[in-house]
Amino acid sequence: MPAPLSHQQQQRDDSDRKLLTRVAAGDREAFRELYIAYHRRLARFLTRLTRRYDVAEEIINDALWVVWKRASDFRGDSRVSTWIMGIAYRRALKTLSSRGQQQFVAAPLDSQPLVAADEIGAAETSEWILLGMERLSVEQRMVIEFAYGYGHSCEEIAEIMDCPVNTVKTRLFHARAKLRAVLPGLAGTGPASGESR
Amino acid sequence: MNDHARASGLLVWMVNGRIEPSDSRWLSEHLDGCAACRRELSVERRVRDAVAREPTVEFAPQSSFNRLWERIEGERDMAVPDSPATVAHQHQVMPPDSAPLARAGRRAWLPVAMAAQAAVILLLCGVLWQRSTAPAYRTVTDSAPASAAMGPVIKAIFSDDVRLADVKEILASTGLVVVSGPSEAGVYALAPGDPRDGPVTQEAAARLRTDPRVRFAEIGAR
Repeated sequence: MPAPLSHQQQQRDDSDRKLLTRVAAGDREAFRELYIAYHRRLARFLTRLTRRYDVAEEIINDALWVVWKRASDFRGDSRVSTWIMGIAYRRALKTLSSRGQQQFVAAPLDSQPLVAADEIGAAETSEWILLGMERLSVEQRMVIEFAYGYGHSCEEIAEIMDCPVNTVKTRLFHARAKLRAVLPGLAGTGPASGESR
Repeated sequence: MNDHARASGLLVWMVNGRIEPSDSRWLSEHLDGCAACRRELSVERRVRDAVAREPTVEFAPQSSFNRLWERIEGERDMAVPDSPATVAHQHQVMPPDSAPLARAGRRAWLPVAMAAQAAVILLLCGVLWQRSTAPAYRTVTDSAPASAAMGPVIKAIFSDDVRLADVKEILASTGLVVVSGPSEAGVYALAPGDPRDGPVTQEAAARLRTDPRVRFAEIGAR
């Protein structure tokens, strides 16, 4: 049984489907609407992934160019956002590969915490979480982005990343474990958890 | 798998709203009696809030769309001679039923267009073979020549509705090239494309500021 969509997600998908049908018919205005809607969503994770807005925008335009060309190929058996995210994800991997991932991706994870537990305040937690994500592999970061940032289900993430559902679960498991390793405040022992003293 | 491990694996789907109803019921019952998993739930919510937070960067999707649309129209112009079907396709919203006809029309032109394109490519290959020089073209945001890689730059922001052709025109009229950018704030770093022009000047920045398509232009460090 597929994970249910919220009312808002269902409404957005209905709207996206209507737009995509018009895009498949060559409707520029529908494409512009879809583009504007997805530009912000894609820019969020692509800017974090590449750490360069110009590269993120290049990937966005490459991905949405594919959407324009292939709109009529959309089979309709997944959410439109899943389909578009999958295209953007593959374009991002291709760009990272062609330009060299080390240009964009932070140093590999080490076992040292980024910050001591008692240095994390609740207001800073978000910043540290995002910093901690930079220590994850690209695949682990993307699982976190798609699950927490975009509300995709496990099955949808598997489709986006073109991998088995169990691979998504494994990547998520390790990503969460690594986040906790570098951010001890998240492990339930720091003040951010309210349980340390 | 014990209950805590099962709960831990489900928490992410609870906080992102994609948990299955039967799992949701089980997890709610488990959380009622498990303080450790409730703490973990609050951590998961903080991760979600951090990752889903909107960026503070101001994006300009309309100008990005304009660039993509120029690319699409450019490809269409390259591939297909103007015909009534393509003119309609470019300039108005087409009803869904007419799209297959238009596409069929485009396909009919395709062999001719491809043959013409192949001829142009062959001709260009010949020219390049004879000259054996580096390509004379360069895109707006390609790496700038070495001459532009040192010294101060002009930091410029173009209007939101500026088109790629406008940027090219502005750069050509001032002899500047894009050294880097746009930054997250939409700032381009510009420098003279020809080393004989020397460093950037206040006059060049002032000339840029007089152009209504330029919102900001100041000399700054690289």
